[in-house]
Amino acid sequence: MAKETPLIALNHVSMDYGDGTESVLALKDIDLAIEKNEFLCILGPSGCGKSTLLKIIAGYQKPTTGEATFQGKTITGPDWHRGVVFQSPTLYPWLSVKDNVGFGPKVRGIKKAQIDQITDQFLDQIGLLKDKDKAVFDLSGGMRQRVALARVLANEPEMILMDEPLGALDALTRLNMQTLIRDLWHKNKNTVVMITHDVEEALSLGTRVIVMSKQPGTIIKSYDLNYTYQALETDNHRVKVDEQYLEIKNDILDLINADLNEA
Amino acid sequence: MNVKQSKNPFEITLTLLTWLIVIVLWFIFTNVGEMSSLLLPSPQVVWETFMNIVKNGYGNVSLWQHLSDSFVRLFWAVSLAFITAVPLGLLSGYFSKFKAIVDSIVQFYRPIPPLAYYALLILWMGIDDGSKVTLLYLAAFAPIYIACVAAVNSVSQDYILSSKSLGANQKDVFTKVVLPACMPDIFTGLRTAMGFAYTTLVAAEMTAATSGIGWMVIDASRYLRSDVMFVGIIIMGVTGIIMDGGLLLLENKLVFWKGKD
Repeated sequence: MAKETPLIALNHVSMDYGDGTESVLALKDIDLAIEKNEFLCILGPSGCGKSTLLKIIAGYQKPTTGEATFQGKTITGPDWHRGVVFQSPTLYPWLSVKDNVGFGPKVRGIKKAQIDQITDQFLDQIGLLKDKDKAVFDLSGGMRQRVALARVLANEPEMILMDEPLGALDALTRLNMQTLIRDLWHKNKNTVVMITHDVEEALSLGTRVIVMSKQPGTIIKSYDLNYTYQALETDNHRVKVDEQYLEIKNDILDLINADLNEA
Repeated sequence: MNVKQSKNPFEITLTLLTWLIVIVLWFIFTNVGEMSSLLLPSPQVVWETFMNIVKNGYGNVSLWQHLSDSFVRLFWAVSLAFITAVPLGLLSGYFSKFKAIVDSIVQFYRPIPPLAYYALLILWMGIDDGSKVTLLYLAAFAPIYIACVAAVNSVSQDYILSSKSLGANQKDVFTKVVLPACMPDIFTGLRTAMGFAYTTLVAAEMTAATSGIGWMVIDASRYLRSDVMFVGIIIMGVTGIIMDGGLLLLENKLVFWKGKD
């Protein structure tokens, strides 16, 4: 075990939806520890309970059995230490880009001058400082997702949870966003948990990738990787695909497919 | 901005043309045929009567007095309805127990035509403005209340969850997320309420009043002054459009994000 308490610890977590004969077991006996500075990617077929897992960590749902802890304390509800980026950006259309990013610090009672400084800093990091007074509905999908990211970063949370944040974006925007997310994670020394459908995305971003089985969701395999560190060092910020990378990719695809065909 | 509002020039021409044809047909019908001007006065007569009413008023009361009487009633009633229906509606949307108390009463009286209980209100409060404002208040309350309940229930769950994960407490969630998210629907409710209260107002003034634009029309009918009735009806139509247009303008200013998220 790790020397200190992990940031997140899930102990025998199961999640049951509904009751009686109608009940659906979404997660079954999950044990997972997430350490500080990890970039954890969760892969799995649709309906495997990935999102449920994330919601439990975020505090939106309580596990039916087992326990989820954050810094050693049981998670009882959402709070700003665990920021969440949704698949579709949930920016508030009545606020400007700048005010969306400043929303977290504002509700936490931080002084206005400091909020301005924080928002400028993170808008600069996502490259949208010049658009700070725009309305969010005038931005493109990729830009909105960047603002959603900056909004979470502005709180400087202990960890960031992302539920397929790039799922709705086109391939090119997606690649740029992956680089951006990797850079931000590295620069701000964050801890990230990211759900994705895309095996390559998981391999190029994660320091650890876990693969989940279809319902009821269990963790079937876990990989420790360093492609994301490699990508940080190259000039074009892309992963260098080697033999091992392809092997792991195939391995994961086989796992997911075998699991799907079992039914 | 305003993409949904802009009409192309061709459509505007079509609209204007329609009205031109209506007026020309009206003109031909009343000037060429042997239509009795008691039943259908010609456009020129209606115009003359209009100018006359603008200058001399009707029933010893100036036109502006009639209009302002009507609109003061409307203004008070809708304002009162707005400041009471919005909080009650939002609370009902938020707390199901609160809804259990308020909702059935609103649902019970809502389908009743306001004029049906107007007689009772007159009995209780007299024929003055009190009974009229109360009547219009009741007419305007229901649409605003219902819009608020529906608005709260349709606020995206992700808006609420994301705000909590950004550090918002219950109060912040309500004032900074739920309330603004409801604004577009509240405005729609306000416009519906204004329209409904306005029709009710005219009907109420026709039933019992001594001034107001509705009273002017019903009084003229007693003397077979169809030209005055025409003037009154046209004024009602035009003011109705102006009122709604004003609200629409306000809406585009205040809830500029409507339909864009």
